Amino acid sequence: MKKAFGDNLIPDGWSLEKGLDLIKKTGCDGVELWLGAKPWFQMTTTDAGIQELLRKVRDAGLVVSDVCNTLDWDENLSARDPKVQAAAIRHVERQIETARMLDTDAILVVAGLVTEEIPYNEVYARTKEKLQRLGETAAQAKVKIGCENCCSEQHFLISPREFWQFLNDVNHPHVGLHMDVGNIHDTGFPEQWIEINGPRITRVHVKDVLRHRGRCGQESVYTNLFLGNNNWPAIRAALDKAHYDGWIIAEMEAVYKYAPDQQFYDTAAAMDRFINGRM
Amino acid sequence: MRHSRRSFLGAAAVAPLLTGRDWRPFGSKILDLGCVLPESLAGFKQQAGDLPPADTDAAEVLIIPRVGPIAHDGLLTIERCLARGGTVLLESGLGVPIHQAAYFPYVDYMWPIKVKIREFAPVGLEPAPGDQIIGALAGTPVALRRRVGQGTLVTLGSALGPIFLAGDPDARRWLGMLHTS
Repeated sequence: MKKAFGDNLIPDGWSLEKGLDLIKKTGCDGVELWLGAKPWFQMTTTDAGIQELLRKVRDAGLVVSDVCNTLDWDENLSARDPKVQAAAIRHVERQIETARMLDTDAILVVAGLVTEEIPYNEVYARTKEKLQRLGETAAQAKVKIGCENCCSEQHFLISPREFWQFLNDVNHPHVGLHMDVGNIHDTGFPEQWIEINGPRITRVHVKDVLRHRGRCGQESVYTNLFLGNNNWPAIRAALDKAHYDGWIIAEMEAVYKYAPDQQFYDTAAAMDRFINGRM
Repeated sequence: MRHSRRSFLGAAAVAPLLTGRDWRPFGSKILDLGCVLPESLAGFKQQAGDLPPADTDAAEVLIIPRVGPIAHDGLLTIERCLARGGTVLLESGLGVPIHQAAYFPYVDYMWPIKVKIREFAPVGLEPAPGDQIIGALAGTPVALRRRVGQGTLVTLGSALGPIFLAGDPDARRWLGMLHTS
């Protein structure tokens, strides 16, 4: 397994170079780049800009683990508005293009957002159809689309069996699951998601989650590895069972009030212990 | 008269001495010796479609879904299978229930293939001399293998049958490998 950080965790105000240098110092192998999150990687970034981005990553001694985006929440494939749909398709296509340029073979999308106005069945059908088309584009580029499980936030594909059935219905070898083990709050257990969807996992996001917090126990709160309620030995064993040996990527909220770099070091050390099964 | 696993091992150890005839594989048979876990019996029956069938007295692999103490007739059937060089897969409910302070869900099997399969109502098995530990749950032995003459007795403290109903491909592979080992 190899480990990486998302560049979205690089503190605001830091340069890319400074962030990459920190990631390298923690002993990581790569960086996950988020389209739309930071000034250095936007929809307006040209191909030459992408090449420059790759050069900086390589100069830091890293590689790109995959390409994510922050745009799906405003421009989702499941949107009713044709203009928003087109924008969503465009940014996913750009992720695929840049993945190739950045020498990686996976992207992340948040596919489908159920709202009060756009019901589940409508989202299901539209998202499936769009992913089948984008799967063809991804196949031509030799890239896999990993649909992230953002269960609660999406109100979509809440359980592992739903996700499994959805991927069956999409039925495209270049469309799989970008598994986030921290996103399963009250809707299950990540090790079971891994067991059910194992062969289709493209990448793994790690963070921990504290369930039932807040005065009324109504909130789940993201936190660093080993501080929450995830069963990390079980998750690690499930990845073995699924024969997953790919990227483990820290994707979390900045929770350190002071010394933000310490979150990188602490998380990298925790990822090492997770990968080595020393828990 | 019903027998514990330990008393059964003592009796079974001499059984191979009673026969010396040549043996060849005849397939498998699921034998209900008073199964205490209906899902285990159902799971093995579901899975049996992948296995070559055989009569009880000609089975290469005799599968006994989760049982407690075994009655005398059942014991004789097991002994006959072992005596002709067969394999007996015995799901035993006799053992100490495992309580984990921090739950870990997988049994690590080392034989006949190295796989992780979910636990199901596990009981810890105490290895007797001659037993090989082939599976453990969080460090506690839950699967044992023992050569009995030309035969092999495999005892599982974590039920495998129900896992087939959940569709675990690793469980299917484990059982398939048992038939070829």
